[in-house]
Formats: sequence, C-alpha cells, structure tokens
Amino acid sequence: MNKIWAITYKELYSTFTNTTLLGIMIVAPLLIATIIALAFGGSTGPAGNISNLPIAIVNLDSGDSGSTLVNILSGENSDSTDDSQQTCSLDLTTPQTDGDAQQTDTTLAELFDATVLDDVATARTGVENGDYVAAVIIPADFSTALAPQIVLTGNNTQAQTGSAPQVEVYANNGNQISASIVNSVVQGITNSLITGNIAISATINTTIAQNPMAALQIQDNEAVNAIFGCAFTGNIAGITLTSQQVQASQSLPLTAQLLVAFGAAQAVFFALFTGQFGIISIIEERREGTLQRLLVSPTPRAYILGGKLIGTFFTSMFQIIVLLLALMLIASLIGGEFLAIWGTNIIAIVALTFALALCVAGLGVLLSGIVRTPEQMGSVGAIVNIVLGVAGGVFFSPLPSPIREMSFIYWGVDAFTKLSENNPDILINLFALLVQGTLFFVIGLFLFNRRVEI
Amino acid sequence: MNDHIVEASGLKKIYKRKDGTEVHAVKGVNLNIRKGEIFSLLGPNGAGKTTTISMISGLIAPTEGDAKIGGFSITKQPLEAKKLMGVIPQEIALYPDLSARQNLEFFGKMYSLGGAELRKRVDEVLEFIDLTDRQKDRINTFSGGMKRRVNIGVGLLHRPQLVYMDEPTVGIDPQNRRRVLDTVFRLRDEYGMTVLYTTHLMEEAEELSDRVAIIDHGEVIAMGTQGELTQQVGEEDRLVFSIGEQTASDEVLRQIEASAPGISQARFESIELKQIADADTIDDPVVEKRATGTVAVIRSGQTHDNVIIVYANRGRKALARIIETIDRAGIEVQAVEVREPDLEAVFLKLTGRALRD
Repeated sequence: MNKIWAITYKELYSTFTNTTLLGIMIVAPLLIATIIALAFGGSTGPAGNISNLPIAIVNLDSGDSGSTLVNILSGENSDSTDDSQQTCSLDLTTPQTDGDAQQTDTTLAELFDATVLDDVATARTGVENGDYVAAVIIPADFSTALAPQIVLTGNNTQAQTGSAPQVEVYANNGNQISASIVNSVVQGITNSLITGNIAISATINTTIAQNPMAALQIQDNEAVNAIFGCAFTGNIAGITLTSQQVQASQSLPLTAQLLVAFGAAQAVFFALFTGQFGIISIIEERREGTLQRLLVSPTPRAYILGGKLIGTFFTSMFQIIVLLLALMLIASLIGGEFLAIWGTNIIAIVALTFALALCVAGLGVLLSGIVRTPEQMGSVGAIVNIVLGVAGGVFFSPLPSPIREMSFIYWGVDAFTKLSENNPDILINLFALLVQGTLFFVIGLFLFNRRVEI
Repeated sequence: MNDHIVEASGLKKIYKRKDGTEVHAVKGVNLNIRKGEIFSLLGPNGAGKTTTISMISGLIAPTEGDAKIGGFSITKQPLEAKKLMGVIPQEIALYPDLSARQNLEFFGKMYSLGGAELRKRVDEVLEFIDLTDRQKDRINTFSGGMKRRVNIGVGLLHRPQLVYMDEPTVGIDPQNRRRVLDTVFRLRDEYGMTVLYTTHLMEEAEELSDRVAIIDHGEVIAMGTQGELTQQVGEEDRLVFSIGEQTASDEVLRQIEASAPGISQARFESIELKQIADADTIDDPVVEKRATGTVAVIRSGQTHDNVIIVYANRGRKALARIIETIDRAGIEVQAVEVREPDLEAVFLKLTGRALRD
C-alpha cells in the first residue's frame, strides 16, 4: 500500500504545485459561473425575488375549483368584489411561515404574469416559443375529482375521497428555475386542496358513524357536495396558501439560484478536464519513460494504476468541494449575508461530491483506455465533455429526457439543485452517478490495462 | 554452483501488424551473464537489443522463452526478479517537476525502501553522482549531463545485483561520456555489480566489456570475450597501403601475396574522393573527412585515393617485404595502416555489413 500512496502523493504534489493548472481548475469555472449568474440574475440581495413570470392558464374545467385555481394563479381573488368568490378564495397576501421556511412578501399576483387562454395548443405553442415559462392546464374533471363524493347506500352512507386531479404544467426547459417555481406553486395548491378533501371526507365519515341518522337527513348528494366543495376553495376550510414550495424556490436570491445551477454545472464540467488530465498523465509518463521505469520496478501494475486513480479522484473531489465553497462565498458576498446555497445536508453534499468524483475519474480512465496519446485525449476528451455538458445543462439548458439522463452532469446538477432547496431526495441521483462511475471504471480499467501493455 | 545472474533461453518476441503479418523482433535469444561481469550487447540500431533487454527486465512479455534473474523467472516471479535489477534507460526518465532528491526518494519507495534507510541510500547516491549540493533543485533546472547522472543514480538506489544500461552515452558530450564509462567500471569494481550494457558503438563495447554478445536481426550471432570473438575472423592483421591515384595490377598483387609467409590475400581498392565544398579555396593539402570518420590528407586536385589491402598473419613482420615489393613495382606508398582484428571486423565478417551501416 505504501507504493500506492507514494504514487498518489506524487500525483497530488505535481498537481498542487502547478499554479497554472490550479488556476484553470478553480478560477475559470468560478469566473464563468459568477459572470453568468450576475448577467442573468442581477446583483440582487435577499430581498430580490422573482416576479412577473409569464404563464399561460387554460381552464378546461367548468366547475368552481377550476375557476378558483385560475383566480389564485392570476392573483385576482384577493381583490375580487364578487361575494361568491370572496367566500371561497384563498388568502395569499399574508403567507404563513413555519419551521425554517423563510418569509416572503411576494404574492402570486406579483409572482406571475398570467394570461388565460382557451386553447391548449396555443398555450403549448406559446411555451415552446418562449412567450411563457409554463402553461398550467386545468383538466375538465378538476372540480369533480377534487370534491369528496357522498354515496348514499342506506346505513352504509360513506364519504369517498376524490381522486387526485391531474393539473398539467407544461414547462419550458429553457427557463428551468422559473418553470420549477410554477410547478411548485401548482403542486402546492392542489396538494392543499387534496389534503382538505381527505380531511372533510374523514369528518363526514366520523359524523355519520356517531350519528347514523345524519345520513338519512342527507337527501341531496349534489347539495352536500356543493357545500363541502366550497370548503376546498379556501376560506371555509381555512386553507391559506402558504406557498411552501414557492418559498423553497425563492429562499435564495435569483443570483444565488443561478450560481447553484450554473456553478454546479461548471464545477462538474471543469472537473471532467481535471480527471482526464490526471489519468492521461500516465500516457504522458509512457512517452517520457517514467512509466517504463515504474514497470521495471517491483511494483505491481495495479498499484501504479491505483495510485494514479486515487490521486485523480482526490484532485477531482478537492476541485468540486473548493468550487462549491467558493461559489457559496460569492453568493454570500453578492447577497450581503451568509447563504448556504448548497443546503445544510453536509453528508449528502459529501456523498454527492464523492459520486461525481467517481464519475469524473472513471470517465478519465475510460477515455485513457480508448485514446493513444495525450493529444488524442485533448481532442476526444473535449468533444466528450462538451457533449456531456450540452446534454447535462452546462450550457444553459439540459436536453430532454432521456438524453439528459445519459449525462452524469445532469444528475449531479439536479442533485445539487435539490440540496440547495433543502430537498434531501437525491438517492436516485446518487444511484445514477454511482452506476455510471462504476461502469466507466470497469470498462476503462479493462481497456487501459490493455493499453499499458508496452 | 550457478554463477549466472541472467539466464535467458529461447527468448522470442513477435509483433503482429494490423494487416495480420508478423514481425519477428527477437528470434530465440539465449544469454548467460555471469555475476560481476560487464556484459555488452552490441548491434546496429534495430538489431533487437532493446527488445531483448525489455523482455529480460520484465517490461514486455516474451512471446516465447523465459529469462531468470538470480534464479527468479521474469515471467513467473517478476517482482522477485525485478528487485535484483536496476534499470538505467537510454532516455532521461525522471519527473522534471520534482527535485533530484524527490525523484530518488520516489523511485526508492518503488523498491520498498523507506525511512532512515531510504534517506541514507539517497545521500549515498547523491554523493556517488556528485550532486549533493543540487539535491533540492528541480530536474528541469539541470543540464543534460546532470540529468543523466540522476538518471543513473535512480537505477542504483536499491543496490541491485544487476544493472541494465541501455545505450547511456547516446547524445552526450565526450566529457560526460567518459564519466558514464568510468561509472560502469566503478559499479563492477567497487560495488561488485553485474552490468548489462547495450551499445551500437564498437569502441565502447571493446573498452568496457568482459564479454560481448553481437546481435543482428533479432539473433545473437556471436558471444564471448573480445579475444574469443576476434578469433572467429582469424588472427590476420589488415594492412592498408595508401597509393594515391596510382593503380596496382593483378600481377603486382600476386607478387605481394608471394612476398612473405602468412599473407592470405592482397587486393586493390580504388576510392573516389568526394569534392568538399570549399576545396577550391584552400591550399594543398586538402583534408577530407571520410565516411568512416577518419581524416585523410590528399593532394589538391586528387580525385582518387587508392589502396592496396593485404590480410596477413603477424602482419607487422611482413610489412617491410610488402613495401619493398610495391616499391619494386614502381608504386609509391604514401601511408601505411596496420589494423589488428576487432569487433568491427567480426561483425563485418559475420553479417557482410559494417556495424554503422
């Protein structure tokens, strides 16, 4: 093992005493991410919020719930003078806060610039053309599905929970963050309504269980449903949209959010070059004769390769961690206060960095097993990196699934974005990264071992 | 008791081209190298020297055959065999961004050295290569000669029983070349190491070697001490008589052959002189550098420098009678050279080509 560590140490020493290389590893991605974030996000402080996101709404539902959702999204309900709307509206002007959720003064009226359309195709085209960041399409059965159905079957009268309504959010991937916000808001609203639905159903069942005669007093299903249905639209059920999802997305200023998205992408993208540079040094050593010198020493071939790989792995991990810390520092400086832009789940961040470093070093091994010279690595590596970057969203927009899922950059950036929203659900990302990294390693080692035969 | 440090038998290396044809780089080499000797592998470029040594040192796997280093098979017990070897490659194989000491320490660790023992060995080697005062300087700040010395030092760090030096004097100035050759003697005489030395320079092989193997086209065509090898071409001296633009008839040549006992052959060679670029601008005599590296003095306007070559046992004793015979034929002898048998002659006789061809 001492020989492996000696090789690893030599690799790390050579890397970290090369100031030019360090500059490329750290400074370049930081500059790119910061410039992009400032250019597209502005130097807004914590008070700076996203506003006036253009969205299209298509309401195919003839019921009250559909109309209410339209009103909520367009922010018209709070100012409405219509009595019926007033009684069934949501209070959005005083959002509640709980736990770690940050308070925001943004109302949905300020958040969205909503346009109500009649035609689904027009809305979709508008999204595709970039006129809207997303289209919210309310299905025809929205109200029906939302309301609990009271079924009278004699003494077995029961309230049945309506099925979850499928509101479609047709998003524009070109503006991922904004689309994510729209999706979160719609999900938040519908989840609140479904939660109310379940609660009301349970209340009815409890009432019937305690007083069977009540069932007999209910003669008109439609009337009951109308009464309870109104409950799900806001004030009656006491539902106040706290916009938890919106707050999560908006917990960081826009510049910081962009730093998360582009910074993570740039960090992984530049780590690719580091990984390839680290591994390709073994081919460089073959040309310089030092590899032959190692091979004629009593050092197993696997030790030589292992030492190189560990060195590259640590270098890649170091680079990603330093970039994450530096991006956090930049975001905090821009924001004027400390911002944990990667979230607070340190274990998840380290695990994610580990998995990404595995992918980076593994890809380096794979390419080293394919190319013959450092020059070939320069050209082939650059092409592979750019393809992965384009697919994974390094250059603004990830390609549609499943192409983007072929790029581990996508999985990495997606996981970092989740962590930045304090969403710990990155297991699928870790799995995808570990599988890709392991595959790269195994195939690469096989090819590389053949290549080392001199 | 086996006194061989290297026993190679039937070493073959066959490379396959992309078109499916085979290149037989080494065709069944057998070598036995004794402990404590300087053994040279002599052959022209492309003869298979480096491929042979690469197989013996475990760098490449032989297609057939095996080599034992100190009794350990290089194919079956490579790690044990490699511990006994120190390799000094032809090119500088060092990390330029590390210092001399860091290079030595790194490669020392590859030979399982560590701690105080490693530091002690590094100090010793730095002193041996006379670079103690530059030990902390990076290799990329060193001159070519200094790099060469560190390159040698790395191969000696673990005190190997066998040191393999692959044409270590290629591309270096005479002063550093002399230092390298002296080092080879020191390794044998002071440290008792066996040195396996490859070269295409006959002079180096003659000066250094206890024994020589001559290799050509992937085969060892002769092996032994210098004396044993030259015996293969006989003990005849080669006498070269320069006669300028004069010619010698067959009758004269027969007279020369009959002039003294032990003369086996006399022949005439007409050597056309190549005009040098500035021949018209310099006075008589004109100096021409021959292809062989020797310098001849010829007269201005001379177009040929003909010679009579005589092969004779104990040629120096026949010299007077041969000159007398040539003189009687009316031919003026301008210069005489007596060449004793050498490795060049051996190679020439065995292959029909000069070593430098």
